[in-house]
Amino acid sequence: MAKLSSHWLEAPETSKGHDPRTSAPQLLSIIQSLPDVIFRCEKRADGKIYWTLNEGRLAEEFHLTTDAIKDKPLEALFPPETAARLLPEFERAFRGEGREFTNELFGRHFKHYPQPVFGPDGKVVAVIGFISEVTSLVLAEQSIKKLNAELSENVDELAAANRELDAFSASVSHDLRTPLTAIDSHAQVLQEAEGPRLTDTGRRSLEKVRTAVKQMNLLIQEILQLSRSTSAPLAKAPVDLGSLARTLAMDLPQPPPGRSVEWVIAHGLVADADPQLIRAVLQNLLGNAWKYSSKREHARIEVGKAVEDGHTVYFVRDNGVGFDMKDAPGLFRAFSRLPSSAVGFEGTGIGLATVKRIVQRHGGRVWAKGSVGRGATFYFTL
Amino acid sequence: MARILVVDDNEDILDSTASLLQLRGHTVETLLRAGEVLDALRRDPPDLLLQDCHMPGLDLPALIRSIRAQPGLRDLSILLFTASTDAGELWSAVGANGLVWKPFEAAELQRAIDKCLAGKATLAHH
Repeated sequence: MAKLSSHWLEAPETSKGHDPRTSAPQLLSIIQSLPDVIFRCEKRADGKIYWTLNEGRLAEEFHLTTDAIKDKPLEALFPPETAARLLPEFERAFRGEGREFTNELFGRHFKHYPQPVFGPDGKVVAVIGFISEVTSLVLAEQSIKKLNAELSENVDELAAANRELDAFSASVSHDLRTPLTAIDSHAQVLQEAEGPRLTDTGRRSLEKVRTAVKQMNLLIQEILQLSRSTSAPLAKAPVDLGSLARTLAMDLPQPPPGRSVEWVIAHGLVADADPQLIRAVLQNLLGNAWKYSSKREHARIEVGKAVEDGHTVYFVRDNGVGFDMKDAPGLFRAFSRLPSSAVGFEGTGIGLATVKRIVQRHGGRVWAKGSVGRGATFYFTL
Repeated sequence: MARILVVDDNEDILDSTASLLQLRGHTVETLLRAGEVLDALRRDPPDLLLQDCHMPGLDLPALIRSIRAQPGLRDLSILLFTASTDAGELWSAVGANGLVWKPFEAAELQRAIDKCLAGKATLAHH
């Protein structure tokens, strides 16, 4: 805060005549129009503090204008508890160390900015300053604190609910897989022990039973992953997305004879991400790229990065069947599969929902561009 | 061909798994209750124990510790099989020789058994 001259009110109209900037009545009327209080006080011989100036709309509201409080010491002006709060602060200012402080009066809050005024001998001759009402700020601060407390309580509850959900999903997926295993194992017994005796229709039915089992097992796996992508704690570390993509690419099935898959994976794709969760992101995106380009004789899958508006954008691109951009909004919704391109491809419709959740938990964004028959590109930021 | 003890609390899984193993020429015993495993192993040690990870009353690490503490069973091949996704890191930690995820492909199970019996730790799923 700029230091005020100690003389500006005491020596108003001197040598320079009537400069409107230093005309006392004019300055006084300006001060009286302020919503705040501007004050000046001194210590008298009795050692008590008296006001020589106390103006502004607040002073008026509390009937504490200069004339009203003339010759009344601080102790006589305020209720005892207010005086007890004000006195040490003013005494401190008179010792040459003014500092901001807030006090309460009739349920309202006032911030004081006292400053010592030094005489030529270096002694404090007066304390000047201003007072602002900060009731609305204090109340807002109190309600923010209250909201924060409630919020952290909600966060704790949410974390507990997530842990419960996680345990529930794990237990449900285990319990769903148990009958599935019984179905699949018995189907295999039938295939192996009775296969020769079955008709072609019987053998085909059995194959379909086993395909459905695999599909359901995949579904269980992906639901569990979707649930974990929400509840697992985020532990970020530098991850080389390129080498992760190369590892994941090796886990994908080899293309059948007559078909080739070309992998183009950039170097230097190091990102700050949760290694487990980002693995699920790449697994899903690469798996999709592989799947939807599987009808190309020469499939090409590219993993790289670009810079867009100063942000690093990672992408997975394929030259597969692509999709119609009008279907783009539904791509990342759980259980929603594209009508145009999903025909003839196995899938659960959960993978991209998982990708979106994980990317969002990293504070990033995911989107896709494509056109029918001309491949798709999935972009994400972290 | 090996002598295999299969332990699972689900009777359907137990029966079908036993059939799949018998079809491959193995001699199979089955057990529905985890509490009877140690006695059965002591009475008539098989070549391999195929043990479900989640059964009522089963403390898997404790069971494997007690098996390994038996002089005749210290080197028994133990292959775990589980329907739980979380068991991935469990098997080597508890001292088993391999893990197969349910549902399983009979051929995968056979490969895992072969590797276990050949003394190689194995992790298989389809």
